[in-house]
Amino acid sequence: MALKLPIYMDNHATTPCDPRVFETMAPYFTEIFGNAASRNHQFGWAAEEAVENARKQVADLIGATSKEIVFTSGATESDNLAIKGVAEMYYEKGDHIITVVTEHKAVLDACKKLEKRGFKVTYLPVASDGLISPDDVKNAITDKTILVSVMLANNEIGVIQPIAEIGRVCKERGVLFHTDATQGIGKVPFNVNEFNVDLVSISAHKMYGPKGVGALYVRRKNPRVQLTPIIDGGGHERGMRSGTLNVTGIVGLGKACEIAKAEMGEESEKLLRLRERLRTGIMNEIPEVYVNGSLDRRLPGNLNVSFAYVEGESLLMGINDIAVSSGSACTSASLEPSYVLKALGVGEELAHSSIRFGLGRFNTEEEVDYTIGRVNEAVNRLRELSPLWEMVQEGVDLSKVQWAGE
Amino acid sequence: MAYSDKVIDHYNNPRNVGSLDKKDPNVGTGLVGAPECGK
Repeated sequence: MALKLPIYMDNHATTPCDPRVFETMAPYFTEIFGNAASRNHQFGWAAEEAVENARKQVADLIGATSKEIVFTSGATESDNLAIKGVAEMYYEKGDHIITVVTEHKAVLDACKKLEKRGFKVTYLPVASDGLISPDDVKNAITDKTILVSVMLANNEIGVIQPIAEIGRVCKERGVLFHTDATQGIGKVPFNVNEFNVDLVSISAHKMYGPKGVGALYVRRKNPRVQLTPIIDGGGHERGMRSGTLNVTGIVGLGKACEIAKAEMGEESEKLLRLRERLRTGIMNEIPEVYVNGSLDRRLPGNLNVSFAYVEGESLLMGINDIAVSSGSACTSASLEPSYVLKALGVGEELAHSSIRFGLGRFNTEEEVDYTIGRVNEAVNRLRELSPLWEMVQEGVDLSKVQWAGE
Repeated sequence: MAYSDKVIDHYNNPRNVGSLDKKDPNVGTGLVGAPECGK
């Protein structure tokens, strides 16, 4: 089969909608278009039935019950609802929240906003492998702690936090536990009861569903979690999230969850095989390539590597027929590299030279092999041009050089 | 946002790249930029 260019290998940013998901959604645009809240005619009933079916599909994937699923516009909203909703509901009980420096901005910025309103937030540091220790959580909990929020899998480096262990700590101390599971759901095994999680953010478009829809799992028993809504209105979703339900999107999210549940085992084996092929194909050929974050505790489809002496963005230009992401969030306005890599203690030079490969359901071995060739060629070419590389070849220790700061 | 044609041209055909003979008395050496600024 001929290779089709460009190749998409940025599946942490978003995933294509699985054709099976799209087919399931299609009739809900034109034929079954009712408002799920219309209780007095068939159009509404049909929409409601579809929504409840999807609710069950989402719940089944994470070991929850249907009534614990609240549909939202996506994981950013779910994170905001979980964190701000808990803070507002439980502020009389305490004003302390614990999270981690490598969380997604949806969590960090929600916490920052709460800090402005008087809440106290502890941002736990991570080890050089990107992981936190459950003991750190345990030691950070005070009488005033109402919520711990730790992501399942990191969006940049793919490392998987010890959620079950942290869940146990939180349960012992009677503190609510939220996890942003956007990147991990449908990729690695996850169960709300085995992991003792009380709130879980889910996004459809990271698991081959459509954009603009997600869910928040809200535990109903042991303990029953209450939330103050952030969007008020018609009282949909048991009052936790008003707004006419996005029936089409919800149907897609449900189908995506059903497929993920059925195929996760096989798919993660395939992804791990492709990831290791990519990793060894690059690292066996090119010196001074470093994996960022733990390799063992990592999403099967994630590879985040730094190519010393090569600037990330210039490497992206060199492999312009492959869609990957530069780990550094360099914009024209800022030269700041990734805050996640900095939190790992990766030096600024290496943080600038990082690339995130996100392998997904539709990537093939041929695509991986092509990518290896293109990356190796581009890195070699850029190093040939690089004065830093030339200095290193001459035996200069770059860490001893006094650079002209700007 | 795609790169402009001019940027891509300079990327594919870099100008003024390479090394001069450091032993040549007419060649001076200086240091500009810092790798942690991505340069």
